Amino acid sequence: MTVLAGLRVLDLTLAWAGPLAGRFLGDLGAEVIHIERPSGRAGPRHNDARPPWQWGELPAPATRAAVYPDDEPGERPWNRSGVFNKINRNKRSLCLDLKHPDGAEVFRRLVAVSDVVVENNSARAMPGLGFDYAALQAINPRLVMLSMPGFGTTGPYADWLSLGPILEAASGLAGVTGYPDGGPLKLGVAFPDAIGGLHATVAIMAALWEREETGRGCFVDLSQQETYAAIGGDLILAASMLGRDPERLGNRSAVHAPQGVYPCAGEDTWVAITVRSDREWRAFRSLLPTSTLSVGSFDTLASRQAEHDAIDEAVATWTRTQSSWEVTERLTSLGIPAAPALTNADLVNDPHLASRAFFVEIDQPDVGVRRFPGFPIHFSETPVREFRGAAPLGADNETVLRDLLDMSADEIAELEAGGVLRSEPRLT
Amino acid sequence: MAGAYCSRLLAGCGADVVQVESTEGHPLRLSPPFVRWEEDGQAPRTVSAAYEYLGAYKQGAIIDWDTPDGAAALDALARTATLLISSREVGGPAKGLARVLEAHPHLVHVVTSPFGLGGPYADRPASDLTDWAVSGYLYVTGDADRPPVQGGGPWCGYAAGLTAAIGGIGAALYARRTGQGQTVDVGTMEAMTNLHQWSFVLYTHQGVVKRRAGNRHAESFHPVGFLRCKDGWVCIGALGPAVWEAFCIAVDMPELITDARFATAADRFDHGDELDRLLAPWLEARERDEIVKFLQERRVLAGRVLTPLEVIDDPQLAARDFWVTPEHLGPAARMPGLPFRLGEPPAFRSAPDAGEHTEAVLREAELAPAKIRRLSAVATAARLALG
Repeated sequence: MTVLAGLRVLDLTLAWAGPLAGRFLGDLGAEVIHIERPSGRAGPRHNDARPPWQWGELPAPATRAAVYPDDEPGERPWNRSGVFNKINRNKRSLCLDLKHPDGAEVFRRLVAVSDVVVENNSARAMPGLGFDYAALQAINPRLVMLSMPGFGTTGPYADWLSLGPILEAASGLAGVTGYPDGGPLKLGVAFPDAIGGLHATVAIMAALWEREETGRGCFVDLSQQETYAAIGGDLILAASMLGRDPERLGNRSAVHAPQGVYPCAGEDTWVAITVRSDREWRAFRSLLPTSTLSVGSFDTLASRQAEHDAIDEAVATWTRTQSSWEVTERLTSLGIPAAPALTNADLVNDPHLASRAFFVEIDQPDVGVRRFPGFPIHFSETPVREFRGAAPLGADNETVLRDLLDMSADEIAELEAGGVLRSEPRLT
Repeated sequence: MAGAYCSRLLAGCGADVVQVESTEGHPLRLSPPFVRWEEDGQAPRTVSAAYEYLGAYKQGAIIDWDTPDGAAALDALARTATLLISSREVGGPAKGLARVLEAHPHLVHVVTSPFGLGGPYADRPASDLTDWAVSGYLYVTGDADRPPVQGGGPWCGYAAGLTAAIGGIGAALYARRTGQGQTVDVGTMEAMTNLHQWSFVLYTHQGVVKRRAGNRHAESFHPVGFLRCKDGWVCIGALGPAVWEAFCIAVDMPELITDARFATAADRFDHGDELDRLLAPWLEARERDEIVKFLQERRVLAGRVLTPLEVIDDPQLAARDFWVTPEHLGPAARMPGLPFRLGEPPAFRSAPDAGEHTEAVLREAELAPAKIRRLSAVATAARLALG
């Protein structure tokens, strides 16, 4: 048994932040129904000038076009996107036109028999469809609903559009990442989406706990700008008290020296090292060739910070002739934190992650078996072991409407004929 | 860090959180960023902004659970507790903690650590920097021709704390239904490895190693990223054909739409330098506030690149009452409250002084009065020593 068995979630999410929340709930055992839009490519113009379903062109349902197996879109590219399939496993797919009155009616009936609605559309989308929380709560008072537009559902920017790097910028945190001699720098992955999706999941779970106490659901208004700023709460608090911004430290630390990312043998191969104490420094120093650090003993943090450049040079001379794993083994065996800068390929093949069964093989319709990241939480009594591949677009149309809403085959066929239910995108 | 953010979130959502410190003090008290702080009429002291932020909304007790009184105190608290959150200790939990867990099978024990409770790296030392390295984020962050760069804060720990909160509440819901507690094991490496958008499918579907691309959004998007303007930097997100076309029209360069070099997002990424050169005059003639407002009004995704100090003045965050003011840290101090609205916002409670609520929480736990007296004395002495 899993921790959310028996819970039903309607997931109206796009891109990454929202789908991550839905996926957590699905992995934890909830029945997640991913309600997808039938619309095809976003722009009606220049259809002929561009290959359809190319990565980066983001047709809606967004991200059903990205990273195909072997770079081959295949017959049904919308079912072959690695990005989409990764983030939408353990969900059923209902492709439903909510703008059609019959589609809206199906949605309202689903709300009546569900526990959670989660969505990350722009702030005007759900109210525009007539699905604000007041309307949905009138159907189901136990409903928990979470909306997570980039800037929240209220305030002067409520209507603004966003994506991860914009939130990274607007939260104040991109300003502290980067080279000391450079400007602000974005992380190589759209981290705000991840942080927004995690907070959304926490908020939904907290609302479910609250519902156990009160018997009533509630609305959660989540701003992804706020959730990202929240992980910089310590930096922002310090800046507010000091009246100045933190220095951009690059790879250094305010309290440990030396700390850095050093080159190793091999192309673009790096090792991260943090020396946390005078004791660790003495142990580390004994490994470095004496010729490279002739002046001073650097026995105090202050002296190491003052001569950090010279120490970095000596450390790099030493690391450059070794593999990042050799350096890591030597230093960690002395209790000094060190680790290779792992690539995506390294991680997929990493022995530690393998021993914890982190990457899993998933048999994906229209794709076949591929490896995907699994689940990061290890429960001793309710382990997460089930990984069902993302459903092909609209694969569950019939079963959802039949099993949950008692609709007849004729009624369902009528919705299909009217284009309210689809199993192929409607290209505009 | 991870456990502290996990419990801050739970406290912000209304849970009654008691932060249990040893007589040596919570390790976060020794974590940067530090602020030298002077209160009226008192000697200046240095406070950890990390402690003040992460300790907020919690009560604090000093209990050394490896003493008989401390073990009894922890046992009394455990009786009515739902969750026990701790960091992994090498060699397993200390005796006092292990005994409490055994005696209270209803407890959900959330354990945070760099690498989880088992596996070949479990005993390895770690730092904020190595967290970035083993999560795959370090390698892909920075300029292609320079060394990789870490994120500017200990955000891997925060992500692990969020992941732990999900596991903790999930297991608590299960325990509520079944009476059965369990161990919830969350390692930062896995918590972070879980948070890649397409890094891994790029490899498992196409065999491609993801690389650094500076302020551009690899592998196939442009312009998505940070661009210089007159008074700083803006982030523009012109992805997808409709937004790209709206962007070209907004910046009055409709000719870009039909330029073969920029036909698709991938083409634009491959010709990023050329495109940025063409956009530079428009951007450098305008200030970031003006650019962002102008583009957003035309449904083009954009945002200002702010620093921590600047974000405090952001009108959106102010309008949503995002900031709380910890008055004990002076009139200028601001920190985030709870970053989502779940019913009424929680009443702010500043991070506890060491052991501040020892007596109160033990009285509520109905520990024997003599033990409370002795533990309170220990807590007071420790608090004085910690200054």
